[in-house]
Amino acid sequence: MRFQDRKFKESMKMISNKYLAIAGLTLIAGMPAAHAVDFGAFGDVSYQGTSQKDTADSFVQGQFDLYATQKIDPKTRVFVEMVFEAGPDNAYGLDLERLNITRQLTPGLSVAWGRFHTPIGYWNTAYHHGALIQDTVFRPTFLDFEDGNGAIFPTHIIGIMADGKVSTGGGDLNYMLAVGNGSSINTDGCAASLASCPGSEIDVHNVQDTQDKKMVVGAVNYKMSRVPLQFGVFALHDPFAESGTGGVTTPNSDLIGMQVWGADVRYASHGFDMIAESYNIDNKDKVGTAGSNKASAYYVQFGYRVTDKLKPIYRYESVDFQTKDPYFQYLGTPEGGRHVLDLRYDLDDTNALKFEVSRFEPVQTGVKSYTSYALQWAFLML
Amino acid sequence: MFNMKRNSSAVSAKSSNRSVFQQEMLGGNPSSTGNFGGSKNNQQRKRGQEMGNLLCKPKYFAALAASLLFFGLQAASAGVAVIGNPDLGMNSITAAQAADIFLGKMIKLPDGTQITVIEHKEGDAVKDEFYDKVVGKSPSQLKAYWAKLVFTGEGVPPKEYAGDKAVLDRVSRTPGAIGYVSDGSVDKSVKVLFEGK
Repeated sequence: MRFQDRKFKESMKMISNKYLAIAGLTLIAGMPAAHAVDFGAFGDVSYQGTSQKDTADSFVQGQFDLYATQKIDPKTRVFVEMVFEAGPDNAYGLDLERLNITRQLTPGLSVAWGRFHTPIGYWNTAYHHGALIQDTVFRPTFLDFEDGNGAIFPTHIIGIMADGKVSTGGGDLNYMLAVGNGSSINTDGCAASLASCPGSEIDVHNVQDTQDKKMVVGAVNYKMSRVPLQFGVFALHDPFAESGTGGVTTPNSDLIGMQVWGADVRYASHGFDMIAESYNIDNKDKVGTAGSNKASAYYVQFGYRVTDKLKPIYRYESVDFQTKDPYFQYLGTPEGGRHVLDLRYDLDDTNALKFEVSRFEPVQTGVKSYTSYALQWAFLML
Repeated sequence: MFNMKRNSSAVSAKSSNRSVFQQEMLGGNPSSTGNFGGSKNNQQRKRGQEMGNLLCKPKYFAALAASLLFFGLQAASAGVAVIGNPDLGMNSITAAQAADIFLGKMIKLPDGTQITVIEHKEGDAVKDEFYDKVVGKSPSQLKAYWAKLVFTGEGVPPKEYAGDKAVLDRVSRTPGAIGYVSDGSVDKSVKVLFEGK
């Protein structure tokens, strides 16, 4: 029975990915014949290395990110984004990262439907797959996309989102409320116990949810007009189910109930900018006896544009959780802090060289610190 | 460029006329290159010869070159005028404000009026001039700027109209509208908010 379920899920996944990709390609192929369409592509190449003994330094083909957007009527806009990238197995994959249609109902309210970035915090809302847009080579590790090594949040949501802006005397109040398919943890790599499970991924469900319970996300931020300051709060509820064949529980049943709330702040003035985000997490074990498990993650980043082209950046990021928390055991998340130092050189508005050195300092005993570095050339094609 | 090409091909199709043209410009004697026949042609040839002789004199050639240079520079440095709907509650803006408006950073006037930006289509010469002189961005930099905003969902480029006439028309008829045109195109249907030379 379990084998049949797995085969069915795999088939559904293959079919959904195939049709999503075809739909996206069709949209892009149809662009020249349609009305004015803004489209472009981001890409990056890099050389990456680490002091870890079991990983070879490598030249890396980064992401090729093709996007298009069109206002299909005076109040309706469509956005599509596809990313070609290779995983650690060197095999290329195609992901439809965003596909959504948005209609402005009133000046202060728009409704969007499709696949978006989950509106949690500043980074995941402002920065996407185009590496050129973010100052550093990599995202904060705990904000990695779902298939990334350090990912702990569902950074994409498939559902419906209401958002809008209300202008006040002192600035703009932005709000976002989204409901979408719940996430799951893919336990394909797990054996019988959690101890042999590390490395599982977060699955987002593009066409077939695992259960009726949905993810709910809300965010409010305020952008001041007289001071270059923006701050916000956000909350997320995600009923994680189990997908995959790990057999921790019955497939598609509750695994973890995740509640997150947090705050973000950004200040930018005279070449200086600062971003900070904090996430408070409560993971409820729905299968075992671990109960409620508190965790936290945060980062703070400073940057200063020395010249029009040169910008050094420093970031400190941290993830803290209880060792009994099954959620982090499933994901194999390393607990600890990371110092990140970047030097960005903008060759032009369309391409930049970035050099990053980071040092990870783990909390767990027996896990060694390591240093990583990367030289990246990120670009935008118009 | 197209005209030059077309003219040159027309000239090459009429080799005898090309010879005349060359001779006249060089001040040579066309009679030695062939028989053109008819008194009218002879008169034309004579006038051309005189003109050619004139141009061969350094002082006339220098005067012609200076004139061409002067008018050429005049054309190249034609100004750009930022224009607004006549009902706007303000009569002038600064260059920095103009830049912010067209980069989508300033969406309201100080009196609270919502700004509707009227943009030129890509390829309009006045667009390149405006962004070069007033905003300080090249066409590719402007494209990259909007691409990043579109990609992150933080902005949408303004609607574009082809040519000064369409921009003038739209600005004059849209409350809160601000656009820009070559300063020679400005008429009384709009108010000038800023002039960039």
